[in-house]
Amino acid sequence: MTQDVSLIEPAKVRTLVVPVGEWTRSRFMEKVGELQERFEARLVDITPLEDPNFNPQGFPQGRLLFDFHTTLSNEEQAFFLHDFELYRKTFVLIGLVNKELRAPQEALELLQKKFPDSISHNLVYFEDLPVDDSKNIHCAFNSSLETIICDIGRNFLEALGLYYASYKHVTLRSPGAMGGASISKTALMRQPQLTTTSSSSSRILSNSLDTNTGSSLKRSTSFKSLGLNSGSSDQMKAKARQYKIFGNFKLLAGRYMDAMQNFAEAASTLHKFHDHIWLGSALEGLAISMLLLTYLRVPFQVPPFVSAICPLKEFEANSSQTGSAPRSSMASASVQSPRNSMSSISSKIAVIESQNVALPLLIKCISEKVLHYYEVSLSHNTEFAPQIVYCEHILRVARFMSYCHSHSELEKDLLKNGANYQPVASELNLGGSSLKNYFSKWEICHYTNRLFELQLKQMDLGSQIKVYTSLALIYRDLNFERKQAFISRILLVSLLPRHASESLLIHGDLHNNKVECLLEAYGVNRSPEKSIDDAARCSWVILQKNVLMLAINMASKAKDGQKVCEYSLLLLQKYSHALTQHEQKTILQNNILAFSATTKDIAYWDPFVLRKLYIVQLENHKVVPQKKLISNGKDQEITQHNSQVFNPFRNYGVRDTASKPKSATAASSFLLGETAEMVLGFQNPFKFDLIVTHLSFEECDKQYVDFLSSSVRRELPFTVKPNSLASIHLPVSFSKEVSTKHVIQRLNIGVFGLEPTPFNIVTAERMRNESSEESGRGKYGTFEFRVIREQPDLEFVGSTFNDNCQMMLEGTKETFKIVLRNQSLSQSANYLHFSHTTNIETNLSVDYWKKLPPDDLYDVEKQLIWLKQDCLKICDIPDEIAANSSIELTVDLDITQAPFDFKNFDIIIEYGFRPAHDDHFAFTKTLTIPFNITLKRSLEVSSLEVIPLPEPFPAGDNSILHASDTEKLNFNKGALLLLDIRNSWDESATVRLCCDKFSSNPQTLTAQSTKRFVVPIEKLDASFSWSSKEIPKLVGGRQFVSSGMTRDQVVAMRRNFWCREILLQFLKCEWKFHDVRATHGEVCFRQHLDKVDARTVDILCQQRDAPYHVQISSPQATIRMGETLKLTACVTANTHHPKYAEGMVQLDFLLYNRHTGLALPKSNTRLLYNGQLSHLVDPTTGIAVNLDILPIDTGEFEVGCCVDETHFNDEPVYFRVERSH
Amino acid sequence: MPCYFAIIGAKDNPIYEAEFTNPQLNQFPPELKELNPFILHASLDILEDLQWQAHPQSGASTGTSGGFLRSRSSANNSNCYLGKIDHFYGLAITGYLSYGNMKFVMIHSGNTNSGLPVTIEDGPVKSFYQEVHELYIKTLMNPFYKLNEPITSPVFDSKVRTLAKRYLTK
Repeated sequence: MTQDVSLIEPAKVRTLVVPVGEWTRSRFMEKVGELQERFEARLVDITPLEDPNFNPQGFPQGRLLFDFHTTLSNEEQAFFLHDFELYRKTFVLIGLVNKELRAPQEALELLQKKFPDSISHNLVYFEDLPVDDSKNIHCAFNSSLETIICDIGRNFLEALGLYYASYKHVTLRSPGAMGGASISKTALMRQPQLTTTSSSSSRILSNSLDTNTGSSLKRSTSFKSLGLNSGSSDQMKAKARQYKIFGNFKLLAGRYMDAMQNFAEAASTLHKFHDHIWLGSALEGLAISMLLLTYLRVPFQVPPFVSAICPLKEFEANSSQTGSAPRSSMASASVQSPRNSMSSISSKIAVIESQNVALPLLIKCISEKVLHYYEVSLSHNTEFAPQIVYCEHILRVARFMSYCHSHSELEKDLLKNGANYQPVASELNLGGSSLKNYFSKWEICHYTNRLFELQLKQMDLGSQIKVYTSLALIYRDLNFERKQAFISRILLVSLLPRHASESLLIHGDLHNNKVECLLEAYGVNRSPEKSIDDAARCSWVILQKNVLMLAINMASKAKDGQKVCEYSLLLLQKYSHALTQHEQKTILQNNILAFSATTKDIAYWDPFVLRKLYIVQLENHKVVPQKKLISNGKDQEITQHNSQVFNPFRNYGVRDTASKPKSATAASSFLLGETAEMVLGFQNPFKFDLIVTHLSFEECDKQYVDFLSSSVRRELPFTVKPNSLASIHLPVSFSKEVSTKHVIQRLNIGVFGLEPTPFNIVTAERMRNESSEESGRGKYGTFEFRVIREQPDLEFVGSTFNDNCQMMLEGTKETFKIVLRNQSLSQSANYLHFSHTTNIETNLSVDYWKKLPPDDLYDVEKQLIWLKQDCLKICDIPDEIAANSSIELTVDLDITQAPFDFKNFDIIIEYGFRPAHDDHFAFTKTLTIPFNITLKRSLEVSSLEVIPLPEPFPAGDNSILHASDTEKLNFNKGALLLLDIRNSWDESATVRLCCDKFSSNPQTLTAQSTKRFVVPIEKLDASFSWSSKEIPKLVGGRQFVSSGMTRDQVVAMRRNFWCREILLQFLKCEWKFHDVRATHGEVCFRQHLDKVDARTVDILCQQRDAPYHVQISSPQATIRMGETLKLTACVTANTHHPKYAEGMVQLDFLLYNRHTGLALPKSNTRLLYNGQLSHLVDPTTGIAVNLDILPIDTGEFEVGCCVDETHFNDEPVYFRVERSH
Repeated sequence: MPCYFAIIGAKDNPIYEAEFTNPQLNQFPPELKELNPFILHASLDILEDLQWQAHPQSGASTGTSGGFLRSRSSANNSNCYLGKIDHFYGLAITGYLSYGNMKFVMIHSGNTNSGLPVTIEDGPVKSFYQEVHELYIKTLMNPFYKLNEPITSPVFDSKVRTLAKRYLTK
């Protein structure tokens, strides 16, 4: 706090406050603070002195300004400056006494002994001690602090008189001459202004001043009192220096008017003798005196020397800026000391009243001169301006300028130290009369930039600190945060390499404070881990990283482990992307881990360390029961429905997103006491190895699941390589039942041996624009699981099948037994559900139905339904299998309709324990018992053929038909079905074939032989609507894509289908082998019969697709030559046919030779006919047309009909002509 | 003479940084290289101060009437150039302000390490700024570029460097 400068510093009495006795630091500082508040002692309050020079009554408006310090800084460095700049000396010493055992006088002497340099020693007691109230011993207990300050002031003034007396006869030397090399010369980077303009101006000035310097000397009364006579130039110079120092004394003593005069006189002399350094100093003193006088509202005349060296127009208060200086009520009184009036010069240089002067401009103007003279002095070997003097002057004036900028008037805080006052935003004073208008921020900045022409680095540390802190404060007042931060950074950087441990320790708090401000100024105080906005914001990473590194170095210098750690963590967390591998490793090892033992609350800094967590079942473990809802199968139907409805978007992945949540909600289930494997995924975004040293569940999770005792110890420490993700697998076991489900959200993780802390499972990073109520950066994942208690355990013991394999003949049935056992000792399986699947079903793809035409689909599904419902039947299904007991089940296996590729089937038993109180669900397991079947062919139908039956079939012994059969048959409507049945087995078989009304006698088929069966069947009814009856669909809820078949194709398919269905419906064939077991069974025609061909359909189904049907009939099949045969043709119309048209049609009879198949010409020698072969008929009336034929030759003939020469009749009429006997 | 140029966004974030050095001439000494961003950052204070001055007493004494504030009414962007705004030891800092409040700032270093303040030739420097401003506006018109985000386009970079070669590092 004492490091900054203020403009009026040369007017302040440097005072050291030391503790005497026992003090706590805080209490001592509190007392010092009280003193600092009362730093000002008005001369009017001080008891008068006899000394004429420093008698307070000489200038009662004046003040004594104390500058209280608690440290002695740079005494030896400043020692050489004491003669030059007097105020640097510590004049007053105040000992604050508390619980001191020594007698006051003794303590005072000790103090004087210890601090011989000070000229006035004082003791202030804060105790209730009856101390003898000697001159230098004060008691704060009895009198107020203000009084004590005044007393101290009086003591000081007294001592100052004595001190000054010793100065009277000393030859004053410049600091450069005294200190030699130990005084750092001002190191200007640019060339000092020795060039044309300055020298010429100074020459001009000196010329112009020649006259009045002499006059001023003559007029000076005090010169005579000093005993100085105008002699040689050296003497004159020495005198002027004395005069200047005297001004400094007066300034300290608060007699500002005198000080101004002294400075002015000294300056004019020094100017004459080109003693630049002292001249500069005198001018500075002059400026300060004027400022203080203005502050005290004492009107004064600006010394003529000032107006001589500074152009008047630069500081004259013009119309726009008036009102700053003349503000005192005393102005009218115009109390001017006689000396003042005497010194007022009546020559060319006009007397300028202080009212007419814009003081800030004047001070600036003088300051420019001061700097100029200092710079000019640099060419001299010994008489040069020390750098600290130069710097401090700049700082003081800059301080004053910034003070002006932030204040509208000179206020009391002008006297205070800069660090203590807060720049008040006095925006209320909008009137023109403001100090603010004098200097712009830019100007102030420009002025301070002069410092950067110096080699500040070469100065000693204390001075550097002083310069930089003052500069930073100035920028702070200007609200130049970035500049301030920059200067602070330079300061810290310059502090860094020094081993100035004690000064760092003293100002440790200050530095921390400063570092915090610095970090804030560069925008480091953000938290991208928590806020998305922060993470997305761009910032100047280089600066921030650099500053943080600096902060770390500072803290480590101060041996502040806590801070080192804190900053290093910040750096690692936020700027890891800007750090090199080496830097990251160093930070981790040296800054964080090194202090982790001593510093509390260090947890791992990456909140996203845990990227995944889940538990998987070990493969070799028992089947874990799945939760099954025991209600109705409704939901199952729905899923099937969904999969079979055409979804045009499925290929585009739309359904994937829609069906996603389903998989996400599934919670894993584990058995109580089961060992499972936990998979943890860690991320390491850093460039060093991440070592996981501790893993544990949170308390709420621990009761359900925990790591196996030794596993964690064995697996840890676990290393995650730099910039990578790694997974660790750990065995866990479940210790408590969870009925619904348990959710793991976080895990305790310890890294690098640091204190373990809970970390959430972070599945993904949240993006900036995602709208979400949560403010966190990550999307948190969870792991849900359920722990269920012990369940029944069924085991398949055996079956009556050898090795679960059986060879079976097609079309047979079998009954076998299986034995099951519940191995569980405690749980009975009271929920049992039996089902089975065969290889036929499993081999089908899910969408088998899509590509199949409807007739094939009907076949396939008919078979599937049969397999599901009839193939396997378990007879005595129990309700419950008690714990530790066995049951025997009887299974009927029917393979009469099983396809040839039926090879194996599984009996599936879903079982579980169903708690009585809760019937909605049970945890079920599945036991699958596989069986293999080898199917052997028994009887096969190798071919099927249908032939028309054109004429009555002779029944006879050799005939395949019996007489009774033929009787049943109407040969007009009949047809013959030729079936070849083959016995593929090694035994002879007795076969009995049935078809509708017909049934054959049992016949024997020897092994490996084929026999043809002729079965008379009736043609199908014409009224049967072939084309309009759809092929039935056995499974509903499907969506078919149009097959693309034409209408005719559809009709043909339907006709084929129904034709086959009717045949299959009629045909039945039982067989029995002549073996020991008398194996018997049935032939499944559906397996053997392919689709019927078009010819069969034509035969069986006479209703062709024609608009007209012609039925020809003849009364006899055989006639003799010469007899007349009367054929009748009847035309009927099919009104449903699209080509049907009303009107007459032409009917033609066609005659063929049956043997040759050739048509007979219209006139021939074999058949004679009566009338015409062509007739016009109306088909709607249904009138028969007759044709009489007289054969004149033997042979076999065929008569057909043709309508409109396009439609032929289905069946011709045959007749045979025999010779007449 | 080596230069360090940066475009600073609204939140004091650098949008673009570049160092223009000439292999034949002196480069930034390493310790100064580290300091450059700090110096630039610090001079932003002054830039922001000048931005609101109707009659800046300094900076661009380039014959333009009035400061940046006056430039709204003028047709050309000559008032955007603020001239030399700051200096730090031997380095001079010039500034340029776009109407979108993008700050173009540059550190000029002398050819020698004499510590003498660099003299800025306002003409070429101003032209450089104006052309970079134009480039920046073109970048801004890119629909994939968002305001205040770093410019990563290599084309922009190479164009800026070409301009620097033409105007600055002669």
